[in-house]
Amino acid sequence: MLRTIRESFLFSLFLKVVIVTWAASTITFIVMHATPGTYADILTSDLSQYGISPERRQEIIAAYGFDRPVWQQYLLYVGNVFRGDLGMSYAQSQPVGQIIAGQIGPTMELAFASIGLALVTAVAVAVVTVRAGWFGQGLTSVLEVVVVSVPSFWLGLVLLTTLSFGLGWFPASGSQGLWSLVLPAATLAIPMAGTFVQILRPELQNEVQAPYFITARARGRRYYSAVLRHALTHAMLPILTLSASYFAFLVSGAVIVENLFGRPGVGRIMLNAVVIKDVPLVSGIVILSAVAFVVINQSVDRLILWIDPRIEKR
Amino acid sequence: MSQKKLLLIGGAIWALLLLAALWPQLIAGYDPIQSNPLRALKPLGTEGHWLGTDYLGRDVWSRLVHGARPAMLMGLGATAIALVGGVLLGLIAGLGGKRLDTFLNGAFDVLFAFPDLLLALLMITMLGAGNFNALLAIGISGIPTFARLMRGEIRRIRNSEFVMSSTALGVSRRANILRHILPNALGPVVVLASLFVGRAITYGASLSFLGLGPARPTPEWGLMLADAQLYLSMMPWLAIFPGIAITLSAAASVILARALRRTAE
Repeated sequence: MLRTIRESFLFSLFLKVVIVTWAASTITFIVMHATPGTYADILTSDLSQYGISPERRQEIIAAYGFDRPVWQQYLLYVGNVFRGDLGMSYAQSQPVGQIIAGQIGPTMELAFASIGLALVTAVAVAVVTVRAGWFGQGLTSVLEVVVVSVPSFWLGLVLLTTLSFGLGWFPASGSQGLWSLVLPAATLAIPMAGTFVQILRPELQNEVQAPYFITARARGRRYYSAVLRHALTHAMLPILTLSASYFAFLVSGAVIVENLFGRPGVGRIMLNAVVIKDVPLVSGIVILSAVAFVVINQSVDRLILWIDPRIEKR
Repeated sequence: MSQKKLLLIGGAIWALLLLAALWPQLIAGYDPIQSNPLRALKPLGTEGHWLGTDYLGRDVWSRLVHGARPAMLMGLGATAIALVGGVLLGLIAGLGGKRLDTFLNGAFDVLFAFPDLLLALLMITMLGAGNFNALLAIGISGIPTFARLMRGEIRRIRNSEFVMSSTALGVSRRANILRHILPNALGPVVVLASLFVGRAITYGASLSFLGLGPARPTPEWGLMLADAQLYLSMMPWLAIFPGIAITLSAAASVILARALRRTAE
């Protein structure tokens, strides 16, 4: 009984989340204390603009526990994080968790739209070019260089200039409706699709030479129908693993894209918080995205094991 | 594209970048900072300003050329921090005892869960914006990647047959590390470093585009892009050229990394 629990997926996921949460809160705590100007100074100096008295300053310091020894502050902070309390935002005097919860919707929309768009584009390009030998080869080698070199914020600017200002097809900013999601999602999807194609194309090339594929063709199945029905299902597994690891790219990308296109979301408040030095809010976003990264990657690993049990547990 | 041609293009970009970073006056005719309102927002092909001028009348070509220096400093500086920090930590983990290795490897794994731009943003929150702080933040957030690679390489080589046989022949541990393990482990790390230069340039430009890098009027590609945003519909080339500069320098670093990997193999 105990053994099955220890080996179960949920238990190992729980353990990893605990470790990452602890590590993340420790890092943010170290960053807060290792940098010049203590946490308390930043907090009270911002308030002193509004005429804060020395007594009130002491009260604030006591309320946040800054007068206690560092190890006690550390335990207090980490303990709070584990209880889901990420602290209060300096600038918005609201719990950090509440602020993030209010902004996570548009960011998730953006993330899912970009992943979806990247997958559809990559599959389409790979399927169409799998037969074209030298052209596809050249495409892959050019993509390899271009995809990692084009900065996403510039890609967004180029899309804005041509499709929004030039042709007037898409709104330049805002988050009204599905149409305004296209350009921001494309900005993040294009580099991802480039990477996916590089992996998907060789995989597909192997699959179309496999005996099962030739059998399917011999039974009279059309080429593209056989590719979509048989080869693609096999070739998609590595892409699935890869798209999970792209979570970090999406979070970083959201900071850039949301600010570029004037969309609401976690990336937008993140940049704002960095500029005004709202440390609890920045730390909260960093901790949550590290935890989300672990949960997503573990779940996708598990999903792949379920789809293809031949793959051994690592 | 053939390998040779690609390498030639990469080399040409590197040469141009280094020239622009070291002696910008040689290829840029104007002061990149001095503004001249009478000549503001000249279009492409204007006599004397073939790439036009920006909203303060500064020559776009000259600003592009002078932008190579901050970009190269960012690329090389951040890479140096990530490389040195990562190699040292990787060495300690790879050569140390089992317990130390388990602990450090766990730490690298955990750090890997942080999106690196967010880690850089966290540091900038505390240090404040600015060129040097952005460089520091990008460099430090790259350390886990290098450390992981270095540690893995050392573990692999340490248990390989040729090291075991040289130990069996009586070569001391120290000589083994210096003569066999280190030189072999550094190969992939150097490839990663050349790749990281381009990534650091792109990240640096992203940070200054977001307003967290150097202050105006520094001629810096990310800042130039941020300023160009207002004129996108009228003068899109103001945004096109700095982007091409960033893309080319990142591409040059990818090409170099590919060439190095091929040589190593």
